[in-house]
Amino acid sequence: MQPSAKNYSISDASTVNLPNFDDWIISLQKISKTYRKYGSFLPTQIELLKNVHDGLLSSNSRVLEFAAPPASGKTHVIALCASYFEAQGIASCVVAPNRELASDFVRESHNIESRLIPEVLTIGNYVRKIKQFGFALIDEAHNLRSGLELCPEIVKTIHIARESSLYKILLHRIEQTGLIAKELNTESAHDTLTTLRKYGDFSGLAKILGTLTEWRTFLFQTEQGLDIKFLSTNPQRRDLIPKKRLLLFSATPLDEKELQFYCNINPASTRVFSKITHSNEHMTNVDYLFVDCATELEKTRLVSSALTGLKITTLLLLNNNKECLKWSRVLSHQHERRVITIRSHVSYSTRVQQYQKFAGSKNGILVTSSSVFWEGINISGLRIVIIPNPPYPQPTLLEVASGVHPPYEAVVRRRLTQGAGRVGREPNLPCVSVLLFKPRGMAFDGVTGEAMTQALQNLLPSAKEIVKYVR
Amino acid sequence: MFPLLRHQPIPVFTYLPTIDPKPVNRPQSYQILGGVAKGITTSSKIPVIQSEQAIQSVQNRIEPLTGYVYENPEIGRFRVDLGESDHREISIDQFENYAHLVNRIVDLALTTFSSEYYKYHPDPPYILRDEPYFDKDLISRTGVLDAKRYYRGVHIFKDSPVFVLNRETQLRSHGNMLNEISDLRTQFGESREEKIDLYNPSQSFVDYINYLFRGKTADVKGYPGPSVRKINAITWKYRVKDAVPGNPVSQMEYFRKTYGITGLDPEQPLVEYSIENTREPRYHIPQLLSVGHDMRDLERRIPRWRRQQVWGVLHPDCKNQLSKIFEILTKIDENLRRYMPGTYPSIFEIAKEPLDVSEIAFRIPELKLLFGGKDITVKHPFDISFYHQYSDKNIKFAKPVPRTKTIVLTDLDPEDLKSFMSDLQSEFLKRNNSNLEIEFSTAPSLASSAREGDVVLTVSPETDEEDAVYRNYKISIQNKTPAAHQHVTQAHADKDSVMQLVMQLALKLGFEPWLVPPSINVKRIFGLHSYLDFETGKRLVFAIAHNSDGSLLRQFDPVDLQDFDRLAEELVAINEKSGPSLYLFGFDRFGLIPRLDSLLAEKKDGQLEYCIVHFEDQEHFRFFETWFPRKAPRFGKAEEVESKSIVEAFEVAPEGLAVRASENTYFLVTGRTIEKNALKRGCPTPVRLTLASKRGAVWKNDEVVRLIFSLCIMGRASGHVTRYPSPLYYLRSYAHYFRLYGLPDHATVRQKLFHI
Repeated sequence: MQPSAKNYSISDASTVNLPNFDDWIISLQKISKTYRKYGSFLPTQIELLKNVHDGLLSSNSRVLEFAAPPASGKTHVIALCASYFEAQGIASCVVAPNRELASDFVRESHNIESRLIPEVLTIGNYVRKIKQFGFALIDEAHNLRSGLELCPEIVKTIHIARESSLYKILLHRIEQTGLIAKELNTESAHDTLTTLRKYGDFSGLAKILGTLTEWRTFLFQTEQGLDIKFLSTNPQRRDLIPKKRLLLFSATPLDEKELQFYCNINPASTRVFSKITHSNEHMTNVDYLFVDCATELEKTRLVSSALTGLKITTLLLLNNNKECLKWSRVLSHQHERRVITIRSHVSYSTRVQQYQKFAGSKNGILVTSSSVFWEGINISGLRIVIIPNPPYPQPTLLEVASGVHPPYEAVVRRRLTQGAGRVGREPNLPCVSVLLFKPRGMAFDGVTGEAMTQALQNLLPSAKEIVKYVR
Repeated sequence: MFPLLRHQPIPVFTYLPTIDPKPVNRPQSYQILGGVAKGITTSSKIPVIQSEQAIQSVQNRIEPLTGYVYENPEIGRFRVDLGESDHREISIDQFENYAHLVNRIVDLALTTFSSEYYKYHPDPPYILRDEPYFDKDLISRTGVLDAKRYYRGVHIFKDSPVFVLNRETQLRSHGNMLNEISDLRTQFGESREEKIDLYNPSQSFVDYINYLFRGKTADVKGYPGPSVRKINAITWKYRVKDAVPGNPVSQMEYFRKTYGITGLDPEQPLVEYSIENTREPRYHIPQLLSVGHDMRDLERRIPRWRRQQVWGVLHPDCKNQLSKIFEILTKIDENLRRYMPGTYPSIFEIAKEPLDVSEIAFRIPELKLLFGGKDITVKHPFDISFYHQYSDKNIKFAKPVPRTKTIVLTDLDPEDLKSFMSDLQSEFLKRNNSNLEIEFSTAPSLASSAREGDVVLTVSPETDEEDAVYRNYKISIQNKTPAAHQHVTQAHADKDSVMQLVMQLALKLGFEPWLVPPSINVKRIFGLHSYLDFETGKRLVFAIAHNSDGSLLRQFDPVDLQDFDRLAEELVAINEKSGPSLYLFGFDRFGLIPRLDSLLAEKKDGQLEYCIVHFEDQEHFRFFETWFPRKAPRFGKAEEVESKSIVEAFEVAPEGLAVRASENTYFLVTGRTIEKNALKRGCPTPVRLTLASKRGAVWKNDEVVRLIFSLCIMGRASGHVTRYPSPLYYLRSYAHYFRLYGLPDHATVRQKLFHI
């Protein structure tokens, strides 16, 4: 009776009618405004399209995973393919991990000449509408590790503020262990929900109570209060495969085991194309540097000093809210007018408002711990990215529930690749990507603080040309 | 366990009853008086009990004294009149009577005096509370509801009375059996993508329903009557509106005329069942039945991903259980203070703090084993991982199995089992340093296949007929041939199972996976199990003898109760020949301990050294985490003694615990049974052992208890610490086998642990 990971037979996998590769490219060229504008696709785009073509024709796997480095023009390729499938009569959609990237796709769709523009969805919306689509193309698919948990069908969260009277009532449930997270047994979860229902005004409680044995319940103590998180144990809820095929795109793809664990996709249903190595992730117009700073103080002093007089847009990527606020405070002493802060868990509208302020400045320093800015997003004219600390991941709820430690180093490398990839997206625009620690297993050049400062200073002459390169 | 802080004599009014017509025997009169006492308690709101042939009331006189009626369809209708006899006091020395009165007063506090929903449970020591935790979705898919029942009773502990309160889960039909069947359509229909018509279901649904209900017991609902002891089938061949063979009146008509029951669904199927001494099937109405369920029933109905949460309801964690128990205790205390101030707390009072057992408890810190010629220490937790810790280690059995030929019987493709067989052979070689030859049978019959090998391994897919297939193998192979039989389902024919299988094969073939260090003082250990088949009335005694290292000396054939003395003579002869012997009795339902004791006492002029220990289930008790090790003086910063668990549901249970209840009585919590997905999850229930008799200088109580603990890791079929020591663990397994499949023909087979 237990539904296991999806394993579709080859016979029920659907293929799309594709012409040979050359003819297919010609038909894509016809609908690509970008192609018409520049007269060619990028070589990385051609390579990715070739992989997609091969994958669709040569494999019956229901899930195809494609890797392509940051700034390789994936967004346009994904939008093109989705439009093409749509035009073939196969309902298709593009799935993005967050609203900012979804907006990027909507903008990208204006670069395609087609009457049949595919729907662009966030992961949460996709899960709800999955059965409407024949093809789904998920960008930044490595986000499925944690992104699926943004779906209320998979994880529901109730927040109890520290000042709420319920906070004290519930706190004793975790106090006995002194741990920040604790799983509640079903009976405790039932009693907790009944208490919430009696004393609080929370929506959706009746629905959870009505299916409580489908959920595992966790209590988390945070700075803001208590989070009660419900994790669906029904593996079907993680089913991401649409009616025909699922195409996953990422610069740092999840492997088959991770896809099975996080998305309940059987490895036998998956085919991975074009694995990339860390060496080919690097762009020629970017200096990848690291400074092995001994202390946090050294890091803040070095950055604050290096950015002085450097009127170039800069991105500082932090791993958590606390760090974000600390760096924001420190940098504001010397660069108050330039610093724009976007911490984690702010509303979409606040995030957009702050980001627009940054995008409108010519020398802004964006200090952020929001995951939105770590990957995928294309920040126009950005020349410097600084990452002070290794971005060790927070375990997902599924990992907590399964007692599985996330593959820390792999996730760190993935996030660093993505973070460092925020610069260099304009082929001829020199940029610098700086880590303030020694990375493991990644090709960054170790330099002194002075050398790093000099590398940043070297960008200055080119800064005058920024406008020229911005598309 | 909550001490009775005050237990003064309880003043009672005593009445002598006259019953008309006269009951046929004493148990019947007890039943009638018990029913009347409970009825008066409810109607008059005063505690009334039946005590022997009398009725007693507390606090108030019973009024009126005449005209009480007790009616039960099984025994008839009786009129009961009372005559006041005397007014006396019942002291704690009259323990049973006193405990009965306290229990009834507590019942009253929870039922009549409470505004919440409590009611008397059909089984007297329990109070039922409507405290459901199953969610709507689960109920609509399984057709099963949960409720909580609270055990209450007065016991003696540390030579003083204690009030025991425990909370358990009870599972039953959602409303009634028809409703339950209707609910089951949802899940069945979804999994097979078909719509099930309750009145004309597909054969696959009929088979599924029968698979779930066959053999179950059902209580009647909505009218007084006997329960259905064993369901044979649910049949759509006849409906409630139909006359059935041998009965021209339909069931619907019968219940309308006899009990005035109307509004029954006329098209519903019928439950077919049998009663003793008749061959003709009887029929009942699902709508008038409610089925009691267990965790195995639920396991068949819910997907694996949901089980952990459901088991969390059935076995909540210790903290939750304790808080609920305290909640009920507070309720009892409040209600009695308010409604029975003349009795409570002035005459008796229940403490609000549980009994502190730290002074009388000790914990077995480790168990020692002989495994692969090495001394191995098993430390806490004594969980199932012990044996599996050796999965990669090249460690041999204590008495390994020589080269063995196995015949495999299966309808599955041998190619599909190739990897499993290879793993099995590797594991066998690793543990025994000998080969397991495997041959797939081509012989036409089961018996002829079995004659060719030392072991017959059957592998079958998991189907609805699984039980029948298994039974057939046991009867045709294990009971008819000298070979050992081992069965494995297709789902378990994998690498994870081979350790367990090789261990069981070794035991079935008469070899020893591991042993305990032999006791210096105790030479032989006997187990005795009293067996009563409630259906046939058959009474047997099963016995087994072990050496002091836990190895099997001999498994005896079960004997009829009247032949017990002959069996006892055999055991005593071994005792005489070998030296000090320990006799472990399971529940002594036939009163055999005094008989054996007197026989032993006569030998060697009263100098024979022996010790008799009596084991009883004590499922009403739980020892929760509030038990702490004895405090010792500490200097500096106090160490933390509590174990912490990230998951609330799996608190650390006080395994390896012995609590001395009186001079010769101990409660043992042998090992933890907490497993996330296992049927028996939760705090382990203790067993009570009483040193009933002993002669000789070698028997020091604590040492006997330690020896018994070490035998709890010798129930090697399981690979972990068992609740009962190995002699009794094996005998229970033997009796279970006997009840289901009978006995093997070959004496050589019967002397080994063929039944595990």
